[in-house]
Amino acid sequence: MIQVSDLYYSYRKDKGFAVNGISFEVNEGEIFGFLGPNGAGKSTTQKILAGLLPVQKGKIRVMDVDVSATTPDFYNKIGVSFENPNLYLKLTGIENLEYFASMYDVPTEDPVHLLDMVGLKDVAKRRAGEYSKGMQQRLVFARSLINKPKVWFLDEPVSGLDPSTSAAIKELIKEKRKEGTTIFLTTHNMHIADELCDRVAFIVSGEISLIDSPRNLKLQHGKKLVEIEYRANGSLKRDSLSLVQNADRQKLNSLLDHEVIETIHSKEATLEEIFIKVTGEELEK
Amino acid sequence: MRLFTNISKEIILGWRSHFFLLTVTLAVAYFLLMTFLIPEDLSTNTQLILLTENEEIARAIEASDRSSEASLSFVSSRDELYESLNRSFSSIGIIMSGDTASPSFELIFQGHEDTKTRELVKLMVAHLLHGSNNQPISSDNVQYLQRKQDDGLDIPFNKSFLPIFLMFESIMMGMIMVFAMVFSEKSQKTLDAFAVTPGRAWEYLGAKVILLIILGIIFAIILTALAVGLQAKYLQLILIVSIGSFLSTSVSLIAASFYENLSQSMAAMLTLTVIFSLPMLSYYMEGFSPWYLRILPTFPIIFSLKGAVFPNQGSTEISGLILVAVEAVWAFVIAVNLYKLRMRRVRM
Repeated sequence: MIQVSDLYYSYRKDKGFAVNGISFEVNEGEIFGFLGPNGAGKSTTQKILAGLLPVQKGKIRVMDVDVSATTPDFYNKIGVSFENPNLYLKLTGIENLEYFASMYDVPTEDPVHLLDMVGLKDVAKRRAGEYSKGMQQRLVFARSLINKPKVWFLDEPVSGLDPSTSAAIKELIKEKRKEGTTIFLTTHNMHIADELCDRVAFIVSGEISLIDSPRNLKLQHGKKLVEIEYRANGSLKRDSLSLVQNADRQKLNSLLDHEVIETIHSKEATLEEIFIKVTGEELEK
Repeated sequence: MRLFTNISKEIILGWRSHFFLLTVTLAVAYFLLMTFLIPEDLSTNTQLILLTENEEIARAIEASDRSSEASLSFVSSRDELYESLNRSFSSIGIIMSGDTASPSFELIFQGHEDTKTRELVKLMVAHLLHGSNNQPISSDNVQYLQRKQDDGLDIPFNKSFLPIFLMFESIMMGMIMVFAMVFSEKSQKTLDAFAVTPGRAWEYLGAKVILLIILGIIFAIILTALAVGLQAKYLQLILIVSIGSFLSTSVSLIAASFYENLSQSMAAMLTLTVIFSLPMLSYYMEGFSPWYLRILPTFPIIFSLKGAVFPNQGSTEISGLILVAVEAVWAFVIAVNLYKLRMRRVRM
């Protein structure tokens, strides 16, 4: 669905590349996470893919369209949710959606339904300028769905949202994947990526370090350990047992059979730990 | 259809930004300014105050021709003369002495009169004393290279400002408002949101131009109706305001595309305003219309506005307006291409 080959981008048009020779592919119906710290080149890549920045060097095809020569029809098929709310603050929530819906040449979603999905139905007739930042973010998110996009670009979709709204947004993203929408998600939030993405790419200083599924990454980089808390002889005990070594496996089975287990956790590596291990960089700079 | 939706959005935003209220308020304010603060007539009639002890001279002067605009009054003493001079700043004192055979006079000026006025008064006094020895100048002996379409009614001084106000507000108001609108959208980054839709740049910008033309027409109709009533040619006025506003708005869109905020663009905005205002010099000094003023698009506009609001005092130069319309279309095409570049739809 998206093919990127040897892509470079420099804001100063010199050798200081914000995106430095990256290549990747995104399959149809997949959620592809682009992960990296601030300034890594995630948003720049997304802007090039969405046609907001020109292709300086490299090749990009989205839905078999060369992004350096897009037509209005290309924009009928993509949706872009920006990180910062960019709304007409003097228009109401519903007016914002109705205006953008009228820009498309394809059947669009019902604005009221979209507002309902993101929990803004009750404030549909309030001006966007009166919304909180989280509400504005949800309106931008709803706007990006107005044309029922085949390829959906999401830039930090749950940034600044409260946990319940964040959960609702994540459910919506999963629902769209089930409907076959291809989703390109940029974030520095590894929990979101872990929960939503089929595959992730780690990007640091404009270069991709690796691309794989979160499960594979955890299997490759995680420690195969179980942490267990149990009661023995009236006191609480803790142990860390390997899932690979025979002695530890036998001990684990014995504990499960004979002791009172209070907690048990597999000690997988988090995406964040893997990111730091692979790239040597922290995510929150 | 998209153009219509964009226009509707701009009208709602304009309404909520109080652009319509501002336009109506300004039109009424300009009318009040024109009616109550600017005088209808700036000409000052010189009052001659004459002191003479010789009855014969006094009678001769009273009997002489008084076709001049100056009014004449007599006083009987120097004290009374100075008192009268102090009361009226436009008065000039004359003290006559001698007899009718060899009169002599002394003139007392206020001090602010220029050389031309002083010489004119001297001639007037000589004429009062001796009468004109020359043949009177008949209107048949006067030739005008450019005859004014004069129905005998001069434009009152205050109403002569009407074309200027129309030019400033109906046409050039768009320039300032476009800067405000563009920078408001730049700060809200709504252009990025528009750029990822199939909407065209010409529809986006065209809607702004149309909003400002509507505001210009509202201002022009209100102010003109209040100032001259039904005397104006309204269809012509609407056409001129539309063309002028289209041009000024398009030029401003070009200029605004190079800046990120209002303070950065201030110099460009003021420069454009000054350049577009220059033909006003020719409006008040018709003898001063050098080529560099005549080539400005606002030159034919201001004289066409005069022709539209004072049909008996001027005419609309159609060829000049057509040229302005062509320039406006060019400016709009350039603006659209600059915004396309900004939206990164084209390879840079």
